[in-house]
Amino acid sequence: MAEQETQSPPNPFDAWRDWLGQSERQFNEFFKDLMGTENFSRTVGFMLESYVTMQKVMAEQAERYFSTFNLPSRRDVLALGERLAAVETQLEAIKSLVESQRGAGAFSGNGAGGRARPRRTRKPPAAV
Amino acid sequence: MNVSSQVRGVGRVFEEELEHTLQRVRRGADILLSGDEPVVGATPKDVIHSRGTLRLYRFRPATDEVYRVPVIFVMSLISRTYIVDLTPGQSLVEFLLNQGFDVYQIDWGEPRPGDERLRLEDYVLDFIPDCLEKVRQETGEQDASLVGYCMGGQFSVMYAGLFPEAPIANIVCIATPANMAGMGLFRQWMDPRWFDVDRVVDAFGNVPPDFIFRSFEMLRPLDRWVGYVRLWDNLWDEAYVQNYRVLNKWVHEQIPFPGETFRQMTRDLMWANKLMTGELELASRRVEPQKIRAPFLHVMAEHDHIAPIDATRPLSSLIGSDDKNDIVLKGGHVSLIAGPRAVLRLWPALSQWLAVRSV
Repeated sequence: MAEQETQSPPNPFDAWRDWLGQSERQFNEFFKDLMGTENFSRTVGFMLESYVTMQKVMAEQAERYFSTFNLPSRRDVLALGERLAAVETQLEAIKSLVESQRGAGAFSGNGAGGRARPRRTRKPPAAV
Repeated sequence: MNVSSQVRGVGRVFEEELEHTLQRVRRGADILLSGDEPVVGATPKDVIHSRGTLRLYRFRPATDEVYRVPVIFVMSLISRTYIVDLTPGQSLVEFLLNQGFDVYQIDWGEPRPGDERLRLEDYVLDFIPDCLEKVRQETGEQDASLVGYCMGGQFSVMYAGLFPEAPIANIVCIATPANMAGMGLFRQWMDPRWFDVDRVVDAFGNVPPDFIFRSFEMLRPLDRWVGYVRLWDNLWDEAYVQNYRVLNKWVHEQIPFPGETFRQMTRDLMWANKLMTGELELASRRVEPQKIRAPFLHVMAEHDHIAPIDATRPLSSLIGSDDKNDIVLKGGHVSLIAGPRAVLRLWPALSQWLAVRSV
């Protein structure tokens, strides 16, 4: 009797949560079947193709527009970016060389370094 | 249970629900008004090597004594790398540090327009060995364990399959697809009959993140909307909201896919399934996973819809190691590694497996 008293009462919100989970699974299965068809894939492929074509045409138009008004185009900005990246790479190489000559790492040198190196002698807990 | 106790019980349920609703309103208002971004990737770390967008991080050890063999996370190209260091208290990296591992991470960064030329060869034959060398210099140890998540696992296997003699102590792959015939809808959508990868790469350079995000979303189109309903239902629960916010942030922060690598992976892996058939070649060298002798662990998710179990399960059959283990855990692609239950499932399994092989 006492056991019966402690039983949880029916919770209508749990029923709703179960329904939500089941509906999600069913709808996902439905869409999975739908999107797994060749027709769907062909349609998506066609839409992607159209989008890519449109994107290409717009990019060409924009390029012409910027050129007409003597403004830097995306191509120019990217070229500049590449040159900056090349400078950055060279700087990193120099920095790396300097640090390797100083013997600097996360555990020595300045900034984040200078902390004691942990011992590399840890053993796993027994009987794993 | 008599009628009066039933009525009292149902009354309690509604009382509780009312209390939760008040908390939902309060917490929802707090989140909307504060506008704070959730804290992600907060475990202290140092950049020990950088090259272009690549950063090699060393996480600061949490113990005075660490296992001899360092652990290097090799991440996927198309997602933010903080998935392994999600948020304090829910971070695989933090967990491993506390277990006494010396942890590194290769973060490929967000590709720039010029990075569209990067190919698999750049990642596997150049960047990974370069990072391994930096870790060797940093630790003084000759070998290291590679832990690859998703595409990072593929990179790890490719590297080890090209250089079986490389000083790799252990290889761990997490949710790593090998058999692309098992990739379900992805493979169907990318069928060469209607998916022209050359046109996409030639038009965009790097594949836009939105393109990738929508593809993932289409795999389970209802997830986002049901997620919002569940969020409302659990808005009173602080832990749930915190978990939702950090994972949601990660899911929506997709990054571009380097164009040439996308072209190569589509042709060689998705279409020709060359990793599975053993025909994959990088820089005219055959990737031979059967020559890998390092201990190998593959952890897969039972309900992974991004890298389905049919795609991931065959991976270990390709590996030549005598010491190889497969673990299939409950969960999905993301919850496997970063969900609130990962601390009970994946993380201890990974730590235990690595610990005995890291001395």
